Amino acid sequence: MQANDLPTFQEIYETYKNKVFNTVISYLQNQEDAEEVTQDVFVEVHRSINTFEGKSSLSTWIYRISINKSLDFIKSKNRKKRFAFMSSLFNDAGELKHDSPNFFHPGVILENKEKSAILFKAINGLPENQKTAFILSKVEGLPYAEISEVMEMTVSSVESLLFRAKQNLQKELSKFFKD
Amino acid sequence: MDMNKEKWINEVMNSLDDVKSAEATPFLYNKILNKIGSGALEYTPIKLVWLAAASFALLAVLNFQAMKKTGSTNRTEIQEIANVYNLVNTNSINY
Repeated sequence: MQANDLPTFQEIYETYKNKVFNTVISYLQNQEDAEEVTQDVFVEVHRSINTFEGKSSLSTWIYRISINKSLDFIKSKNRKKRFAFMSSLFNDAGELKHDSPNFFHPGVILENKEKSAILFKAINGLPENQKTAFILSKVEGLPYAEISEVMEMTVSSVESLLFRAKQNLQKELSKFFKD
Repeated sequence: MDMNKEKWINEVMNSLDDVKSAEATPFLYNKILNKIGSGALEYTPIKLVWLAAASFALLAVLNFQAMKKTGSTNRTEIQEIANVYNLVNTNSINY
């Protein structure tokens, strides 16, 4: 892709802002964190747009940045949580809540709010790759071909990941079921 | 598997079927521009850092040379003036 073919930064932002935000919020399950990471994604896009070689589509490239930034954020947050936990052992400074609060995705219809919150809790327990494939497919609605490009794997691998993700989710959900 | 449980799991699994995209907040673009603006200070190009360091080094060398030159010139000039006015460079007092 030639530099002249690239849209302006504002055009990129307007085209992808909701896609990025929707992906990131599904990953992080927190509005404030999602806003912060969405900013980081676009700062990275702005910084690296001149090095974008056009081997993949702009959309695929931006989705990859969104996923990597989300994963980095989760890792950094987990490190902080571990540190806080270790500190609490020495300081005895209050109780630590390890259960994340319920997440209500803003795009879910009202009647599904409670059930989707349970599903998001279960999604959080999936391995990284399965979580990515599930979010891109179920929340972002990407076709398997595009998911395979974003995740740099074959379409059959994506299908397999999604199959395993659904199996794991069903197992996890059966623990949440109350008679 | 219990029918109720299976039904419930399927309902939960399908709860994202009609999900709409979450929308980015209106002021996000300005926040991004602010971050990009402040980021300019964080990402100083390495070439610029070396250029600044080289400039300082050159300035220091030139200053040192200039001071050395000025010091020797001053001494000879003072000597010349002392000779012209017949000033004797001793500690003795002449009456």
